[in-house]
Amino acid sequence: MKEQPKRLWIIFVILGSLLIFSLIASVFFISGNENLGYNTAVIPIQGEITTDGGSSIFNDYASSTDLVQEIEKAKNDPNVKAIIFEINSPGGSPVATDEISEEIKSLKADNITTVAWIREEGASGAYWIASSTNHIVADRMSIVGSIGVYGSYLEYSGLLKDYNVTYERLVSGEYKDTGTPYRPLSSAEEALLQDKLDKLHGYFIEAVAENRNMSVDSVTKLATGEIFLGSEAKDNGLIDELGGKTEAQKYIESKLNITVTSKDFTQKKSFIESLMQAMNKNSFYIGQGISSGLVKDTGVKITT
Amino acid sequence: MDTAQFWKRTFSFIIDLVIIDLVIFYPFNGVFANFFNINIGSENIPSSIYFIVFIISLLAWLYFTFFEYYLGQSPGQMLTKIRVISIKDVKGKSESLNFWQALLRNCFILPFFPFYILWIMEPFYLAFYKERFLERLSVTRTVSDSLGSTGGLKGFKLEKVK
Repeated sequence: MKEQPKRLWIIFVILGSLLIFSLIASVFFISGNENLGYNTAVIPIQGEITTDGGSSIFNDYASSTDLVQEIEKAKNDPNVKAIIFEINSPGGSPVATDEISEEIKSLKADNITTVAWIREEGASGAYWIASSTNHIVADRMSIVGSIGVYGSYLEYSGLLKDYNVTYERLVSGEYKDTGTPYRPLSSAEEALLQDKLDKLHGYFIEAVAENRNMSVDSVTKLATGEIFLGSEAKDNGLIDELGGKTEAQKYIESKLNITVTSKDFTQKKSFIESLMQAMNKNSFYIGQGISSGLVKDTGVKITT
Repeated sequence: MDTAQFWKRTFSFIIDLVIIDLVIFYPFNGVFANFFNINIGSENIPSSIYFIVFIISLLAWLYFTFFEYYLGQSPGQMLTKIRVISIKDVKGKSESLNFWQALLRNCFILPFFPFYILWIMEPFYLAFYKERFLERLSVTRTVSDSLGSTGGLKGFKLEKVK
């Protein structure tokens, strides 16, 4: 029976040796990969751009909070020499757009080359972000441009009137409930909101003009809110090149004299996290639908 | 000595794969996670993956070889009470495997040509002839473990079997 401990000892030695060898080999590969692996980060910008609405399994949102973190992560990674922004977005919140745009522009100080690769659409705020990069590539059929701002909303005071429902206006501050859907805008309020939209439009035009080295006048001519096909956008100078991922990589390779190997820098979310996020969001909207309908007016949502 | 039953062999192999997954494959998880994040092909990435797969399969090969050489059983075989014997001296006696026999009978684990042909060949051979093709080549058999847990330990000759 003395053999039993010997057998256990042999099992332990064999398994231990294999485990140690595996650990050493994996550490060797991981450390080797740091240098051999990637030199370009890929950061997707998909869906409506918001400040905090991360993507879930049901909806696609590009959260500026997440995107800024991803850009920071790429910026602090010594391997990353370039970033490709894979854009497929109709735009969104001006503030979120500006946050992302400023973060991208800050990469220039770190000598990180940035390329926007527009796929289906890079419109409005998404185009603003794209314009912050060094180079914009889009397919000839991509939707680009839409340089404009809107704050349209449904006003259903007529419907309420039909149902004999009245809006009791109780405000302190003349413009506090501007944009409520329960009464028509006064001309003063309309002028006020239009002024805000025009200012945002002006910021948009200035940003694009500065980012693309174009004159404000030439951008203003294009800033009618019109969407352009990729081929049209190339002709009017809104993008640099027609193409796709290959062209984006080639630009980086020619500029930096490297062979592009890219790594996805998207913050990975587990299935449970995605599910929880979706449930939280849906619960929030259901709650918001009930409570805001009773208590709080949502006001005008401004979108670039 | 009875040839090991098919289900026992299958079950022992599954147990061994689980152990291999934990001991050998698991430490490489980080490496694979890094590689799978890299999404634009470059020449050095596939070759690196190929090399890692080679290392992992080599370690898995050594896992079976060492256990069968030193103990006559892998952990999966211990749990299912089957063992590997050499039948070079078949007249009444069996003996422990030598290293080359253990190495040869387990080379099916290598995921490279021509070894992966054995992935298809071995199950069919086992189904028709009650032994694997590599067992025939290596002159070994997998049998029911009627000798208890100490049989087959290196340096201990197996007892006479009927």
